[in-house]
Amino acid sequence: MPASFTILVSGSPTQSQAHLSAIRFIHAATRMKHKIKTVFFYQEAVLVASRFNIRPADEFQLTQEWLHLASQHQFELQVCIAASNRRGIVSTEESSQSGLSGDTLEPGFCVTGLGQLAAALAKTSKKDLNFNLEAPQSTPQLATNFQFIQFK
Amino acid sequence: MTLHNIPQNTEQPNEGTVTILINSPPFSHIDGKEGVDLALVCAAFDQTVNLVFVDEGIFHLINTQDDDSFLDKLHDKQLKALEYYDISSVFVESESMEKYSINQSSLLETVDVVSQSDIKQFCNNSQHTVIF
Repeated sequence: MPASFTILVSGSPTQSQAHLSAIRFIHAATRMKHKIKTVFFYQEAVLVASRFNIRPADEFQLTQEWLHLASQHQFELQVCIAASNRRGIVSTEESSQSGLSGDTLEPGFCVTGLGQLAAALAKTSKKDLNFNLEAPQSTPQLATNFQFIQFK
Repeated sequence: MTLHNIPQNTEQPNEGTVTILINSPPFSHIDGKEGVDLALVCAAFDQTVNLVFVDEGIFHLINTQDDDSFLDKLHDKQLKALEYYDISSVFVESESMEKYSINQSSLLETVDVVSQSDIKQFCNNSQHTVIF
């Protein structure tokens, strides 16, 4: 039976493999007809939502890949507002409210509160699958029927 | 100090329970603060929250943090107030305390000491575990 996944990406786009792992997971899951409901970016992961990221042309274009995947598989890219504002990722609305000279959020991403993540945690079922290689032993590494996944 | 609020060992995860596991230190990383933020929001959304500090994360709980020696906002005030935000289950791993030679008298009073196997149970019995 196809599952519907809510994915939390919390690792940095430059200092961790979180985004690459999450993207590979989404490729694999959608190939097997599973659905991706939402990808939520928290902590350093929000930096991928900047429209001012310029990567050398011969490198993997992370932000573009997220936008491409989201439109291809019809899921939302949600960015935590508190985490993004403290890292300089600011929407047009937030920018004018704070009297800043411009915005930095890539328009394909939408700004939400942590409450969205909390609600997703409440709605999704079963265990998470954690792709943190340094996870302490007390963390379950694998479980069946998961629907919520953290990429750290 | 007595142990309380330890979830029962059941085969099915407890619906509506989230374990937030913090294993990163307080001042060099922002992870712990953002983990506590998520814990507070989950509690506000009627989730039962286990907030668990392991490894270097236990330094969040030191009860002698001093405003004068640090420029940023300290963590202990927010942690002391957790119970007013419906988070009564705050745990610290005994193995980590041993590793860093930390006594319970150095930690915030509201914290319960549990073993690594207890924490494994929390994770198994929770609907979700999020790591910071």
